Amino acid sequence: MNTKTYFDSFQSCISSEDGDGVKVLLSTAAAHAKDLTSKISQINPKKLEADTHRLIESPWDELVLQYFKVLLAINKNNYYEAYREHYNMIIIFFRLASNLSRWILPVLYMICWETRELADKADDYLIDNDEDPKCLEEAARNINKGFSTCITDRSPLSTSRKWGVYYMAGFAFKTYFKVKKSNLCTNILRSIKVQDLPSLGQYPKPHQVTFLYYHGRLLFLEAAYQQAEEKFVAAFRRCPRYENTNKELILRYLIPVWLIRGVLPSRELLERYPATNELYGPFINAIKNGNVKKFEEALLQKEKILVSYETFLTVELAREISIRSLFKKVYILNDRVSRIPLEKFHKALKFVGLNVEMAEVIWFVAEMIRKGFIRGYLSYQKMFLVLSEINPFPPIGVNHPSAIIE
Amino acid sequence: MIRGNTNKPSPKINPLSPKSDSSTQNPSEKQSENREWPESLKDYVQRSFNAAPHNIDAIENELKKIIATKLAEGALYQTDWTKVELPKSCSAINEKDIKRKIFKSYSRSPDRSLIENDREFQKREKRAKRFQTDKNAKSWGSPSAENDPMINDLDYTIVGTCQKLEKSYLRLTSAPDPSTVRPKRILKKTLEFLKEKWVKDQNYTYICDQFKSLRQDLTVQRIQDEFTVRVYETHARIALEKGDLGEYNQCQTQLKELYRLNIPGHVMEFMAYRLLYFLYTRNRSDINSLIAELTDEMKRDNSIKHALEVRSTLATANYHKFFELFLKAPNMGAYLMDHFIERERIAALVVLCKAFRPNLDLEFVRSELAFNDLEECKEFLNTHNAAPFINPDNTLKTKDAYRYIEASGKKFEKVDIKGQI
Repeated sequence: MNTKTYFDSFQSCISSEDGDGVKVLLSTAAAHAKDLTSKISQINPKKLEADTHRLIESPWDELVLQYFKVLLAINKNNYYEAYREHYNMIIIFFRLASNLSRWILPVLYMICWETRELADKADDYLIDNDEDPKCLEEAARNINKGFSTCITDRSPLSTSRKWGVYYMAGFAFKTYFKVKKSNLCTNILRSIKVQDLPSLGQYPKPHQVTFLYYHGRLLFLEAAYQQAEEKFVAAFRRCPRYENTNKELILRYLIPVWLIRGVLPSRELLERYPATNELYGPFINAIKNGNVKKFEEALLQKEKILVSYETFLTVELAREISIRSLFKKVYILNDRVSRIPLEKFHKALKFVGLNVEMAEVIWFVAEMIRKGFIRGYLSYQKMFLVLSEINPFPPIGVNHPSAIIE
Repeated sequence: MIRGNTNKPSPKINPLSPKSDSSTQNPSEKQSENREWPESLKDYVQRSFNAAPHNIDAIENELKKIIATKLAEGALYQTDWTKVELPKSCSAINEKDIKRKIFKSYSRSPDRSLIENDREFQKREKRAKRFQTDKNAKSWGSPSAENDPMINDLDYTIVGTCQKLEKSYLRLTSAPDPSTVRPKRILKKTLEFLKEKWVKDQNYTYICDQFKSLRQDLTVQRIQDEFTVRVYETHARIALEKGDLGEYNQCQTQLKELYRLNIPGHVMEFMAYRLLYFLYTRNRSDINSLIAELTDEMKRDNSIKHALEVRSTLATANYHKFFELFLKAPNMGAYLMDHFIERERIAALVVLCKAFRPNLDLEFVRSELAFNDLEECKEFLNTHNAAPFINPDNTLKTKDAYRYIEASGKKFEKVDIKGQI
């Protein structure tokens, strides 16, 4: 593509408010980019500047010039410079965008996406040269600004940039998680809460799913498991079947939240999602069989990978559920008599390979009573567990509304 | 679909049925799904990932090829996966990739020990030196930790000439006069002098003041070596002994930086303190990050093993073990645990009062919750308004006591982080 064609196309796109058209023309990865780059690298820079000012209306001309600078930097294979030029480009763009309506959204998404890509490559460059990678962190701040651009638009809803809010929020979350600054996400959540927005369900499904997923992860990090579960279930339901990776990602966090409530995924679900099955299968089986020792072995084996996913601490909490399963077995094998000597539990644990002291057994049972997993009380004098006549082992979470999932 | 813990067998799914997830998958591919794999293969896969967790993507790609080949040969089950060599990606030390992966983990202190060869070590040393001579660097550690602002103005490193052992701390507002700064030779004597003084007088205000000026002299002269580490470690331990978490945190922050520059010290001991501290603040992501930082070698160290066990006993509400660990905490660990021992005692009492009926022997409470004697135990119950429910035979009316103990427990929800960075 030569410059004349470029300028013509650009002008026509902005006059017709063609967001997708502008998006392509300002993208550094589009089909025309390589060819255009080679053309502009052969033009005298002063002439290029003059032509741009002449043929592109203000204030878009500044934006286009900056775009050229990015292309040229990429051409030199200097991604750090490219990122810096793109940073300048994004600043100009935000200024522009604050006066434009909904049609500009595709361009906003693309620019934020590309600034992230370039920041990533720029960080590689910095690391290779023994510097600290700080571009992505900086890019995250710009992406946050992109979100602000959307949420602060007061124009009438049909043409408002507010329709970009959830995409940008999700994208910002994703970036903040990548740079391990997930604590900065709360500001975005707060803004969303106070602003007057269309309901989440009115936004495109992909926006919803990404947003719900990351919101769930934030809640998960704060150990607000019930709320996290709601988000993950909603995200899972709205995520289409063919997006297997995304489904598995959601499950990666949903399963631990279920496990600590004692909710086990069905065999169908596990068969459909092999990565999840591989990761959490051993735990699920250990809980089903009340085999505490196998649960601990699985914890040891999967520790590294669970820690990298930040789900280790949560899965560990589910160990108690496996102990409960075991204790329930003891109750059943004991003919469901309501008075059980604690020694029997001690033996049961030993039987599955867990050698603990009697005192620890007392605490296990006591904790389960406190949590409501067992209904009854402990008699210190007799060292007995006295179970309630009705429902001594209440089923945990089976009939929970979110228990049915496609 | 998910169900609860029912015993109904679910209908088997035919892997070759058209009802599969991705319509693009053909039946033979479906068979390569995890479900159909032999145990030894699953184990092989697991071992491959464990061998190089930083290189998961490359390993995954290689594994896919390996498995696809075997599948095509019809040898998935026939192969002895215990004998197959791990994928090359497990051992390939692609320096650039490793370095990128490590630094892009965006952890506050990337684990430089993963970078193996000499050249990297030299580059690292170069960086450390750069921090020392860079006049724009506030200080080698977090800027806010050391309160001295004068480093910016120095474009040469001063050497002190002061010969006095003791010196009170004065916050500097400009470049210091060398005659008031003690050279390293003197500072070494000061440290020994202060250690003796601490044992003798136990005057914390004096000691803290002296240590701060000692640290200041080191900072001003840009001395960053084993001696510096020893100073911070000593001050940290003394601060712990007196329960001064603010001062302890300042030292811990500096030590983290110094260890990161590979200056030798009691790294394990202080790593263990970090973990115990995070248990006190109950900051889950900090705990998770710290666990992620631990190498296998570190996990074998006694102090770290102890801290890890404390963590897991708390996570599983195994109070019996928890209080046992409190009693045998290594180094200064017990002083750190002191800060959350009351909170955990209440949590443990909540469990006991909920579970036991009608009465519970106080002797059990005493021994489980690590009270020195029955008096201390009763005193504790009194502090939390449960004294009226102690029976003459030294048992506790658990149902009545529960309400008050639970109320006390609610007060421990929020934790003051006391200057932690």
